[in-house]
Amino acid sequence: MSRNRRILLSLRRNLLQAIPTMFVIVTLGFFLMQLAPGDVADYIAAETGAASEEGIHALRVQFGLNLPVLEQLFAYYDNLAHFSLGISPRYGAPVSDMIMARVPGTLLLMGVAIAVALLLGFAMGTTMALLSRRLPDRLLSLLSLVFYSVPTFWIGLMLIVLFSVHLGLFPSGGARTIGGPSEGWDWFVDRLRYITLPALTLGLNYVAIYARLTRAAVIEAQRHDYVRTAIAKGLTPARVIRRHVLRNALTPIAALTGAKVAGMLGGAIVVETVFSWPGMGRLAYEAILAREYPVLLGILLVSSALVIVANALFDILQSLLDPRVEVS
Amino acid sequence: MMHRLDPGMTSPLLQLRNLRVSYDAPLRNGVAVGGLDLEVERGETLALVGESGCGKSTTALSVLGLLPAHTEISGQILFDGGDLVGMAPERLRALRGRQIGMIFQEPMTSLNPVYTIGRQIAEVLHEHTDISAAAARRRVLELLEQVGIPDPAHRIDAYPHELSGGQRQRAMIAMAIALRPRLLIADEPTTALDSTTQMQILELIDGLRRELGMSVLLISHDLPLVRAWSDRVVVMHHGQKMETLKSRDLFEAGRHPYTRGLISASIRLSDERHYTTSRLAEVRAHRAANDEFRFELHTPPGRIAATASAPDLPGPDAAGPDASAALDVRDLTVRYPGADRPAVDGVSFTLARNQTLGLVGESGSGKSSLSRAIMRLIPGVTGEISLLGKDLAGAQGAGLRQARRHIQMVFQDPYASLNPRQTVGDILGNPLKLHGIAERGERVRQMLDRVGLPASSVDRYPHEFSGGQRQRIGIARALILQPDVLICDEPVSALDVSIQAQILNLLADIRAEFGLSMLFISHDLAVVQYVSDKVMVMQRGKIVDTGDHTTIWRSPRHPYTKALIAAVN
Repeated sequence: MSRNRRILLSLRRNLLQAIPTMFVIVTLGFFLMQLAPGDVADYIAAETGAASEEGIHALRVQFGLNLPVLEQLFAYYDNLAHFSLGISPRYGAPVSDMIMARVPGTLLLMGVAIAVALLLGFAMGTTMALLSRRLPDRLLSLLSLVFYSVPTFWIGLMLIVLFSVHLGLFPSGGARTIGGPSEGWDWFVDRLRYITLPALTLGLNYVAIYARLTRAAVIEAQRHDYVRTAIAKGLTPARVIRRHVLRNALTPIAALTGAKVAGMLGGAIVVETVFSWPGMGRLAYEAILAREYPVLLGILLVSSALVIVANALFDILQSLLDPRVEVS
Repeated sequence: MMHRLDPGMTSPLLQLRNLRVSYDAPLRNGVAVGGLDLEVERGETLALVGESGCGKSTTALSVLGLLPAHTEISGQILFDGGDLVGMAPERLRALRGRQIGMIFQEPMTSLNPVYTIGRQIAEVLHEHTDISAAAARRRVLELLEQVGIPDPAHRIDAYPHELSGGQRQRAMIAMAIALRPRLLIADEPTTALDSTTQMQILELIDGLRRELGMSVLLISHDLPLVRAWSDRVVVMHHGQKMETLKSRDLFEAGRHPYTRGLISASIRLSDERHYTTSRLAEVRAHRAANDEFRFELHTPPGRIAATASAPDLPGPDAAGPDASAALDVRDLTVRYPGADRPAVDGVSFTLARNQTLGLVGESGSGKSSLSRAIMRLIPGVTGEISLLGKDLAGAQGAGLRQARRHIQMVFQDPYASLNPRQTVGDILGNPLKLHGIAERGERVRQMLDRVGLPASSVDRYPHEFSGGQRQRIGIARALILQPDVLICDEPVSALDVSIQAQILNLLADIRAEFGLSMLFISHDLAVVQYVSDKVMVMQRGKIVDTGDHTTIWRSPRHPYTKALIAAVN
């Protein structure tokens, strides 16, 4: 069986498994939300400040919130069966449109954060491993321990205090300058300035994880017989490290990155809130406050789909990195 | 290219002068090589033999500067007149892979699993020459052809795990000879391979030596092997040279007591030795007060030597289960999920009481699956097994536990098969407790004494013992329930030859003493010849040949048996 065929089979299997998984997630999520007190009608009433009992009731009827719980659930399934995530009660807009408007923001933030975490973590871990037990190793170990143990939101706040408030280097929130450049190099620099702090905040925690993992993987890879073979071939130390140590250390790192995607999505919510970053996390936070269940369920569904897709991709990446791993 | 101090071809290619290597690492410290002198002449194969820990691999690694960190090295390693000790890293790197090639014991782990073999072989060409990618590929194809890898055009893009063990070692050799080095260092190149593959690889190395005019430094623990494949032999022990001999008369001219000990402990098929006629000589080294080693050679007397004449019970041809047999196996088949053919394919045999039945075969022949199936350790087994006339294949629960008292197993790896968190007392005592046997302490002490371990071993953990001692613990554990049938799965293949002799002597003694019937599994024909009364040969899950211990070697019937014998003679 060719590799491409195996990859296709693996994708198909992942897809088939995703359907029951997402069904369970939606159902569980639906019941969990029923446990929270209040509903969107209460919220809208409170927002407007003066609403009569009748007015609130009319809202409930309009949103279908007066129906029995199971009927509401089946109505939601019915929506899903028609590839619709429903309508947001507050905005009257389709939930799918609202989420899709935010998905790129979250993906961008996560992507940059993963890239930052991988690059910094890999560099730190490699330095630590090659200078193992020496001073740089100890200092970087200490630093990564700090990154690892300090909560994300606090790192975010401190970065704002330092880089936005005191140094004024980066903006403290948002995704772009309102009325700022909309194309070209200026646009890129503008976006870059806005994403630096949130991505760093989200990534630093993972920098620590990757640094520790890379250190262990490189030290482990150095002991392998094939590294001795590479030296015996007369390769320069730099080539031995790059081609035979680091290349082989990539496999466990890719595996861990795949496993951490879900956790990172959770972290993104906190970071987006701290930096007012327009992503799914902020949307979720607002939806919880407003008790907008269709929006929240929609986000849950899209997030789980993202995680499932990411895991499938990392499965394939894993098999590309290590020919011994069969895409099963 | 290094500067040649000696353009004449008279001096040795490689000369070690007073080489000393000592380790100072958490896992290993002390002197590994203590003042070694040797020469490898141009075009010759010099073998360095000795048992584990004697410093032979350390010597091989020190030539190319491959020793781990925390190692101290002194003395001289003269290659073509230039001293490799303390040579500038760039100059040493220019020699590695170009003037001196090296192959290692374990081809699977010595090749990088994430690159194709073609790329790994080409890497050495690109490193030392300005060859184009296309020319490198052509040269790699040539090399694969030269080392006898079938279908090179296809195999060049194979990953190491897609090749057999022998092919992987061939790929390693192709890498080592790619730039026509003048010295090839082969560190136990065939230890991880089957005997028929072993011979092919050694033939290949020897052929390449003549073809390319190389010298070969062959590191091995196997005396019969170095006798056949080298010109001269240096025998090492505790980091020192015991003596240098011409390989041709290694077995006759060795005068040093340690060499004599190794020789008499090594069994060769052609010696036709058998446990009923002689015990193996055991060599023991003692460090005297002045740090000198003294070697003691003695042959223990055989305790009972009259079991070979036990009446020959009906063989596997007789119909129906044989109640008088110790173990009777009919149509045993083991099928692993996803495998395209059964690992064990309809095997039938009878193990008579008080007999040893030898089972030989190469890796993957199904011999270990067979032993595990008999022990009821694996699922997917069909067929009949009867132990002392009782059904074992269908036994369940308490019945199976009861049956296991009568059949026990000694495993190959004495490191992996003992629980590292249990003391020897627990390892031996727990089976007794499980079967509700009283006076455990007393029985454990007796058993330890019987296998030659001190009584104080009770409170110690397996890692505190040497390999040979651990195998003694494994044997004691198997014997503590006084079983009737003992299955030994490669019990000596992880051991040094002098330890192997001790363990084989011990097995021969206890077999007679405890009235055991033994199924002895090994890939080593000479060992099987020594311990067995009857011998079966297994290939691809089937028993292809059966005979008594003398006739099967003298007049083998099956071509596979012939091939096995040809590979070691």
